[in-house]
Amino acid sequence: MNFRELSNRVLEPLSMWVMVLGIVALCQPWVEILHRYGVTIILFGLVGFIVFSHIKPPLEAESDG
Amino acid sequence: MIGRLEPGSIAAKRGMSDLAIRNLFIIPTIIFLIVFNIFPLIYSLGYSFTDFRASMNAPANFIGLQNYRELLADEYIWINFATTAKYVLVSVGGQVVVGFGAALLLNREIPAKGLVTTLLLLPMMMSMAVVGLFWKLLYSPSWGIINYALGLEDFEWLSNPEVALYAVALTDIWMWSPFVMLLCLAGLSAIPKHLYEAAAIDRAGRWYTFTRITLPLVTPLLLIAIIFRTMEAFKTFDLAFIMTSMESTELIAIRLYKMAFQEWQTGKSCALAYIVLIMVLAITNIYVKYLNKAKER
Repeated sequence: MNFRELSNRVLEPLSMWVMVLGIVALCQPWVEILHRYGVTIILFGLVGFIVFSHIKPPLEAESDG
Repeated sequence: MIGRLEPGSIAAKRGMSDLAIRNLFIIPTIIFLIVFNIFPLIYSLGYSFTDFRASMNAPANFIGLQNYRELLADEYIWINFATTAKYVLVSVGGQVVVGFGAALLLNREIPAKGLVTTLLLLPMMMSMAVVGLFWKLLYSPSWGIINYALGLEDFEWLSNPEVALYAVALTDIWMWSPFVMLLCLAGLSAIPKHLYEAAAIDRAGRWYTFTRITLPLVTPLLLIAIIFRTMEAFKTFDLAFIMTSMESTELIAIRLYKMAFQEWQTGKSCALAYIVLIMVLAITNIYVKYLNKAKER
């Protein structure tokens, strides 16, 4: 698995889930420490998502789609 | 300046050259966006790192990330975020159930289908302020029609801290379910009929047909509706602000308004606005991703 493939198949979806996790952490009413670091988690996910979604998928994946 | 067009050219037939379109429409729009959107956005980012108060004639002092630290450690802000999340879950969940249900009912041959669809779409065409005032009257404990219809006598919908948020969410559900219905209806009408015929030949039951054909094919559009409504529900201000003024219905946008224009904590409110912006930006990115996926299909 090369970097483009890794980015397309793993890192981009992972960043998206980190963003979702950050939103849940920020808004959940139970654990205070999760709320405190919610924005940081969202930022990590957001930056990762913006970077990895701009890396073009490998040629095989392009022809598959 | 506008370039001269050669007679008979495509540009001349269109009436305007690309240069003229750029000068007349694109450049003014870009200038407008920079002056009214991008400049305030960057300026407020700067303020979010200061102790600036717009009500005081004092210079802004740089305090680094202190506003962000204080906001995220503030128990009341945490409650506001949790209230907003509860509101979003109830409101968007209700809209999906009602909207999808209405789309399923309308996706069949019924008399005056066009008229019924148009009438169902009316709530989302109204102004938020009008809807808020209108539902406030409906919820009125002394002469509101909801208490009369349910036989609840003088039940307080908007003054009861346990019910008020759900009452506001119900209004939002009434207003925005048609939007979800419209998107689901588009998805349902695009499902090829031969799939249902094949399922009928195979003697598939109603539930099996729904879970294996209808739901998977509507899911992309339904997801777009959910993400779009979630994004909007997180920013809700007007409806809750007009209908109630209680702590239990204080959504994050209302807290932001109070912090900025009642307490005049300009720097801190800019920081809170940026926290909300980051959250909405994250949801927007997910929305755009699913929109592109739906387009590819």
